[in-house]
Amino acid sequence: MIGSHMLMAALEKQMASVSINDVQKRYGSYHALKGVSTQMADGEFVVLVGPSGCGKSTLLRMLAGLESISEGTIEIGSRVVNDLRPKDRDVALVFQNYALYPHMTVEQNMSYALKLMNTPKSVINEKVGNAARILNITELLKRYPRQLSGGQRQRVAMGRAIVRDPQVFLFDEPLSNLDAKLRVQMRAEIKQLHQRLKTTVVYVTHDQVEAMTMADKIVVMRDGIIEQVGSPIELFDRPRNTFVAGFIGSPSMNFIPGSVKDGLFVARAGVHLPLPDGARVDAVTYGIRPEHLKLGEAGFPADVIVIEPMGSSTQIIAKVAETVITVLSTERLALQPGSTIYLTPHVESVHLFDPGGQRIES
Amino acid sequence: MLVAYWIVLPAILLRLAFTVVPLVQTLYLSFTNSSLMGHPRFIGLQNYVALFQDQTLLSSLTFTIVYTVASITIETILGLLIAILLMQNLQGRWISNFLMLLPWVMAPLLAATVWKIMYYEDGGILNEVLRDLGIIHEPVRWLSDATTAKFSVIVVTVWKNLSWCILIFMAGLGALPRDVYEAAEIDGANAIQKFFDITLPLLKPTTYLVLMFRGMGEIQTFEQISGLTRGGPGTATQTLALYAYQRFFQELRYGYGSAINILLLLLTVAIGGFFAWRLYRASR
Amino acid sequence: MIKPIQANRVASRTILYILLVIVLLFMAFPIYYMVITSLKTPSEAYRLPPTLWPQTLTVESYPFVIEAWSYWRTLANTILVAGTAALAATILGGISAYGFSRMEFPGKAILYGMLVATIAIPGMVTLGPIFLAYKDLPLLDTHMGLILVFAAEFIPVAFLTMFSYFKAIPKELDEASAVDGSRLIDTMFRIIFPIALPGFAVTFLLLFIAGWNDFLFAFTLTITPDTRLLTVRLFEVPVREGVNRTPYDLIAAGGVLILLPLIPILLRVQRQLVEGVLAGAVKE
Repeated sequence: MIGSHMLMAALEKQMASVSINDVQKRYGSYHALKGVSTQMADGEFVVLVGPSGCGKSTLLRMLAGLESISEGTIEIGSRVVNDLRPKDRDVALVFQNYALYPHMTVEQNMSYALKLMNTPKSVINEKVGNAARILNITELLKRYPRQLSGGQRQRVAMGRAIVRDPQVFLFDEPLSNLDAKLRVQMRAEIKQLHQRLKTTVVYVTHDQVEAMTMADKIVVMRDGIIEQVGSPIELFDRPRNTFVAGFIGSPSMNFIPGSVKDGLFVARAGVHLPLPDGARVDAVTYGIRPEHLKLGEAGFPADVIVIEPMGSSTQIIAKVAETVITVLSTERLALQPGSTIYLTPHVESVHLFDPGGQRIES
Repeated sequence: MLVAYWIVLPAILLRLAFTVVPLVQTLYLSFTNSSLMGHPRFIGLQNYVALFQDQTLLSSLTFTIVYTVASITIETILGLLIAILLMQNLQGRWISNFLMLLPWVMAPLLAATVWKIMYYEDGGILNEVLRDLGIIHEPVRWLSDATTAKFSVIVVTVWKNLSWCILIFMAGLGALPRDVYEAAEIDGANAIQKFFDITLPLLKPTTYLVLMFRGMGEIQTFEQISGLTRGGPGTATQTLALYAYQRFFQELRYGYGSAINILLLLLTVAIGGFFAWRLYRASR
Repeated sequence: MIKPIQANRVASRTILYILLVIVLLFMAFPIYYMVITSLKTPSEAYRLPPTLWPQTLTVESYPFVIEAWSYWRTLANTILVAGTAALAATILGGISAYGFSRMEFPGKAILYGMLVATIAIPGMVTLGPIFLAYKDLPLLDTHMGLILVFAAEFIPVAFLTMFSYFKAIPKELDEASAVDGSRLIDTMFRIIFPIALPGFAVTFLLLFIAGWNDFLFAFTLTITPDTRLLTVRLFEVPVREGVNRTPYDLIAAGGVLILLPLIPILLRVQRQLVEGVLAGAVKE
């Protein structure tokens, strides 16, 4: 029984793709997931990102088997896993709070799953040793979780997942509890790990920076539906609506309300903004990223509110057309709050949105 | 700084006045042959030597220890299992908790009295029900047979104290981290494995806490025995506390009674200290 | 073997409910039996074999017991003693706990240890000298004497409960209050204590129950009927003139009269007890 299961899993390891088909989740009357569908290829690093309550963690837990699926199917490999218990899905989950067994040593934490499968001791030691070496935690093997720092615990949590050699790695906001510097370091390590192991990864985070830097493919979610799926660059250059446009990219995109008249975008307070060729008439929102606004002698005027020098670049919060916007300049500037600056947008990078918030393709 | 002492000391002083001071006096009395008659004379360790030649004391001591160990073992195991049952999200939470807590609100003497009525042999409710169910044919001599009586007394104690154990275990179970169980679920543990590999080890501090308090409680048992058997039949269910009481207050032999009390104290400290030490080690 | 998640869901649920019923039956049956026995006619109460439900419901046992025990007087005594002692212990213990939770002072650890260590001293060990001292004072057979003993007995529980309550109230509140210019007394009584009021209430009620149910001290330290408390009355079985049988209905009625007043308190405290237990789970 166990042998054939492992054989099947080994064969299916070739195609550890994940298929989410019109999945819904209801908690009583609360509709958490309203029909989401997406495909994840074998070996892909997919990030589920979105604000709190969008359903990304719910979806991940349904992948793991910790939540039931109200409607729709989930396939891992080529198997429908709806009714399979977590241990039969061959997935490993790295928790936000690590969820290490407090009464077991690091070594025991990492061996537990294999011990449950009656794996021979020598094999366990070998796998644990390997994983420990990859994650640089070999000297921590005899310690207890309470003796470790946050970053070390995170590594052990990952080690526990690696040892199982699953078809899919699931990460549930693993870096949220780490300080900023550690987060940056761990991001790179996780990415390297993925390049080395080449296993499919589904990674949940609310931090779009993590999403942008780590993902092969990003799934943006909001309120139980998928807003857009694409590579980081796709989402950055061609966001489908104002939500995605404002969510991806930091500092986030500026939105200026107004309407199109005589080939220009007319905003409030008589501000006229340039448009790219062939812009459609029904655009009511003018989107431009902070880094695509150039300071100069000419352009539309804006009143400086706050200057935030960041060393090699400067972030300026200003007001134009009764809207607060952000400008990102790669120079050091000596500006005073209250002064007026003149901004020229990079017209090719302007995004226009219709009354429904959908981006207008040019 | 002085203010702190004004705030902190009154309670402590009251407590010490009624525990340590009498304790010292008991200790002193135990070295005398004090009684209602005559002048007390210092007699050193004579009382203690006599203790260990006293058959009644030795049987009381044996029974007290056996009774305590049996009671706390059953209370701990049942308490944990029932606590798990009650945490299972079943319907009728409120009424379940209420019924479960009723024995706790009862005075030990009252509990003993009620059970005594049920234990009545020739036609008491317990024997009748068991006979109707076909489990027994002869009425069980619950309180008049030496061996059975010991068992009957333990049942009453367990019944009375189970509620508290359940509450404490529920608190302990409630504090267990939920995501650790999810990790175990993903690692492939079934319910039994989760219980033995995770729940039990993580509940060690709670378990030792229960054992400590129940241990110290049962070893002093006086009221239940008074209400059920008054130590009988013969001295089959005589506990140390009951014996001490009899010597001190009924025979008015203060010196000897005090010696028994000191022995009781030592036992209480021993069992409490043992589990306190285990508790301390388990919660590091 | 790959098993579907839904397997055996219904079956295991049913087993759990059956177990729950068995447990609740075990806990509640003696009390049920006590209640119905108190409602039987004397002849039915003596009848063998006994019935599980009275053939005729009657409350005639109650007036008899109320008379025999001078119930209202005894009830008043018990409320007075238990209530005053619980109040005193709650306040003293609470104040002391406040000091321990907020202040540093030399010997803090030692005093704390002393307070907690006295829990290991059995009441029986202190009873003798207290009795002898009371005889001479004279505090024997007085309510004041009982109140003092009970209050001292209650201090550790009051202290530990309030200590954990105070630890949960941030010290920043005291500091803010001090910065606003209030003296320690004001901070304590006007700001912190009102916040800890639920803790005081629960502590008081729990200790009240303990005082109500005490037998050892109440029995030993009272002599005349006028001072007696309820549990002591239970020990003396009310007898019917000319009837030689054990009056189960009377004993049962007495038991109900002792237990009944505590039920509202249990209801009031139950939610807090169990919710407090489950709050740990919600925190996750």
